[in-house]
Amino acid sequence: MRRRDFLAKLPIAAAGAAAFPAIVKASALGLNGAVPPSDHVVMAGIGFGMQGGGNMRNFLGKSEVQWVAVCDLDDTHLAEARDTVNKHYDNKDCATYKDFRELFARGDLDAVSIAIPDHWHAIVSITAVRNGLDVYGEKPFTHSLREGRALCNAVKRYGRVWQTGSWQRSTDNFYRACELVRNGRIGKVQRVEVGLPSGHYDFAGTFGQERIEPPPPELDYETWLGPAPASPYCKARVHMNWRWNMDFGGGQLMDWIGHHLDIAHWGLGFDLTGPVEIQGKGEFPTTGIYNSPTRYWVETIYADGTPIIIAGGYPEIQSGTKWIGEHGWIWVDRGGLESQPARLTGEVIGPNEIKLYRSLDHYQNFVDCVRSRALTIAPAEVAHRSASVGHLGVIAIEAGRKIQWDPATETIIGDPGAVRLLSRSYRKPWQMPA
Amino acid sequence: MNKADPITKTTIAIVALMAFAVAVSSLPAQTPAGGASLDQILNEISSFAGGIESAPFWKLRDYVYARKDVQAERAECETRLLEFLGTNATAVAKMAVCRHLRLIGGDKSVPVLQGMLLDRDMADMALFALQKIPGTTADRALLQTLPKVVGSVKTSIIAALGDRKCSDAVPALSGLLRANAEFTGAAALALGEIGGESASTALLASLPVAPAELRPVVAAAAMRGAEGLVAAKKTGAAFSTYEKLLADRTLPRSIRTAAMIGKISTAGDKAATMITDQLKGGDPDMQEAAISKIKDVYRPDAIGPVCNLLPGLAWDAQVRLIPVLAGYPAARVMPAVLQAARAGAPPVRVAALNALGSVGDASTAPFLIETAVRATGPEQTAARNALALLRGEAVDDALLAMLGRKPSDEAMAEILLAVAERRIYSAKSQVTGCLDSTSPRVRVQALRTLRTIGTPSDMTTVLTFLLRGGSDSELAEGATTINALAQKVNSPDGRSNAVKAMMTRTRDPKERVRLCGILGRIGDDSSLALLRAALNEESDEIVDAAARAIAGWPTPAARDDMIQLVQKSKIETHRLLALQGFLRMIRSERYRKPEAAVADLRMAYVYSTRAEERKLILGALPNFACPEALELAGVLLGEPAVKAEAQAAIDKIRARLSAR
Repeated sequence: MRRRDFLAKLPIAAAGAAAFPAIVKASALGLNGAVPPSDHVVMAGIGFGMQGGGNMRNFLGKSEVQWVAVCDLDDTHLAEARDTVNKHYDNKDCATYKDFRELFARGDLDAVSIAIPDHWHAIVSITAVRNGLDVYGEKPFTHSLREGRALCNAVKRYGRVWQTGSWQRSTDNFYRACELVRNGRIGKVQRVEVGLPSGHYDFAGTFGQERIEPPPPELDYETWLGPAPASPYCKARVHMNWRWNMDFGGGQLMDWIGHHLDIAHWGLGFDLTGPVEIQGKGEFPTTGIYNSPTRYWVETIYADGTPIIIAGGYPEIQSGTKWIGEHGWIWVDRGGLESQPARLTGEVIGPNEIKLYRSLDHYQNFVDCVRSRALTIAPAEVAHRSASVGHLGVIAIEAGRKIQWDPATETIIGDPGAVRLLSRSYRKPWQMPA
Repeated sequence: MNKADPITKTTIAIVALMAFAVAVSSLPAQTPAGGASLDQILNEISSFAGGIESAPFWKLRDYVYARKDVQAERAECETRLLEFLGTNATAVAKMAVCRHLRLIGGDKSVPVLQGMLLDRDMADMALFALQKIPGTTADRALLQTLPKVVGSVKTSIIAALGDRKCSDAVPALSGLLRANAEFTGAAALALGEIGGESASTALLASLPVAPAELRPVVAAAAMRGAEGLVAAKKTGAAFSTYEKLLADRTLPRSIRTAAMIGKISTAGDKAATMITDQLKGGDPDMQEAAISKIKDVYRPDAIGPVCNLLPGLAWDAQVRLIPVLAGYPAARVMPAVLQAARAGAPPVRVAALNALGSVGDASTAPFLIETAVRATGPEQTAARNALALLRGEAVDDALLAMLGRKPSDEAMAEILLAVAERRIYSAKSQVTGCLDSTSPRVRVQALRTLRTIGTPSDMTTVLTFLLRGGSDSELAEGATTINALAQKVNSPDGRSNAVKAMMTRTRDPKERVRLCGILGRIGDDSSLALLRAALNEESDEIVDAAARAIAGWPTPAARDDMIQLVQKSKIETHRLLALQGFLRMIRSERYRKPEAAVADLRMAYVYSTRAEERKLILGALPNFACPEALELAGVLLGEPAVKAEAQAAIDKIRARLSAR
């Protein structure tokens, strides 16, 4: 039963009395450390080709979560995910689905974890929130700018809780770096450098396997393609390496924009805005089926004049995020936090200074917010704004000219050619839901 | 205009051009286009199957890309690509062409693409391009084709009309809403996307007769359309839409909740009353919708009525409402929040305590301390977090005052914790005074707090405390505090001065043992001489403490001392510890010349007698990949106890050597 259905049946306390139904046993409300069954967050997962399994295992470790189902278009992935859940609970209760619509029709879910190729993000996520589900969704937020705005609007329309997999925000290094910057430890920020990976990485071990062949029987390839243009099956096109093809993903730029650029935004207080000018260059493969840039350089300017460079494959831009200010710089990556002057990294932010949203566990933050209905540390609008910079970078690279952007209205100014790139056409029979 | 102006203007133009050239040249170069003609490229891709022979695809991309911004060349490209669509080329090749028409196609492309819509196998690729061609010509083409196609092709054209926000399509789409269930969903979504009052009217009219499984889609589309009405400042029409949806109790809960959110958003002056009505109503979903809109509706000075409702709500609604209240001025909400923190259900108390971190003040501090003492688990954590977050120096003063009143030991410990979290440096003398407390818990917390607010000048006080003795855990905490204070000394060579001074003053073996341990923790190289001397003392305990300190030394300055211990100590434990420390030191120096590091590892090998240390050697070798490392690993390959590790090391070293 969904937790809100149980909660709806609880008697309402009389006005003036403690709002605590006396008939409910204390243990049912989590006293003595137990998680009451009514307070379980009932979850399922969609997509187990790469990140989905890890996300699920994190949620399985939360005593407040009850995981009931898995959904994937690949029977092998589906079986592995189901077995993981059953082993965790020591039963055989985990349900399996190949169609996300059937999963949502169950009616007993509170939330869903979505880790599917980018080209599916918007359709599945909007359908999820329309069905009253809170979502833990992987980045990049969506596959185009227009999809991003549509999904943000849908999350708001249905009053759902959204957490993006931008988990760096729940990591101490990044939190500290951003608080230092926000509290002016380096003075006015004059420039930000965001270093992302370059090239294509063979996650699935299928590079070069581009022979056209029938899809394997365990994969519903036609559905896997979904709204993307039809392309004949070859091993190198799917599972994990799909991200190197712009029909399904956005290469390293879009894979990582929701990490290090997201942190750049957080440190600057730019979570709800975007650049006003974008230009970029990219280098592309000249053979093979992958068409995302292997090397790229995107320059953005924000309304207050702050430039942010996003680059992959340029050693002069260090991997991670580096804010360069009047009085020094701060750099952060997963492996470290450094500053000039060096003492800055040891500085403590006092209680009377700007304190950023603190989350020590990205998954727990989502679960807590599902229960409290508060904003997560990486909500939809923030994720959209981070991804938007990547999309604009792709547009600028594709258009080959500087793009003027109005972040308030989310429109490209004076460039009808570039406007065509704000959204994608969907292959039949798929359509953007509402 | 004077004679200087033209020159000035020219100069400015030249400078601007130069600046532009510099800016452009500072960007990395784009991949250049190939030299083949378009005919040659199209000929190559005509048999393209979308697999390994994809080089011609990139040639086409580069060719079109290089010409897309030059009008005449773009037009020529468009013409040739359209001609290609009429040939016998593969579907994949034609799709490749349509990708480019998506970007460069104009009105000229419309007729050809429109014709392709009638072919089910070509419709997708045609739409891929046509959907993005701006202008009414493309709109008309889609509308004209709509009645001529069936099935999923029709659905796609419907979707395209919606994506293009083609208002001319509203009549046709409205007709499809009710005429044919096959297209109801698609037509509804398209109408919602297009928006406007006509679309909205059509959607609401079709809702009662829509197939059951599609009613949520139609309703969702109606809400999407309502958002468009709001954007067009037609709030009344939007409100009406939401009201109608809300009245339909057969719609799913998620839709009705969204309709309530929308209704409140468009209710204008009535929104506040609507919110309180829903809060009182008791329907959890409607309450949730109402709570989500509070911050948009209630001004800071008007939140009172909502606060008054808080105690009467179900506990889960309180849990959701309290964080919202925390965003309001403290004076308005604190009484309600404080009451919830005192008297609510456990989850409510936790939520309220968290909120007090934002809305509390100095007067809240005693309650939070009392709660931190009394509670456990999430409630205690919430109280402590709130204490850390309370803003204002008055809070600091309140905590200091509480400290001065000598509260219970439990309360004292919580206050000391808050002092640390809040960095109340002015409390230092009181905190050091707590080292004399009779309560072990207070003493330990005082030690921990001093790590944050203490300074190097406090080291002597803490040392004196340590040398008095105490439980092992307290001594360990004290040593950690000394080290923390020592690390605040700027000069690395001065960090252990206080400890060294105490070492010269005391002859008590127990005290000297403790001091040796602390010197090892601090790792100030200038104290190595003292430790070396301590190795020659008569007391076995002091010798042991000195040896352990040297073996655990954090810098390379103790290298020779470690080697001395390995080679000459009569105590096997000391030799072993020193060897492990030596290996740890080598591993940490990853920027040494490989040959020098391997020479040290070889020496360590000579003195190692156990498999554990030899495995550490093998673990370190790949970090210093060189022929000498390979040789040493090869020697260890012959030892059965470490054979697997040796082979792994050899493989890694070889891989690193060949990668260079």
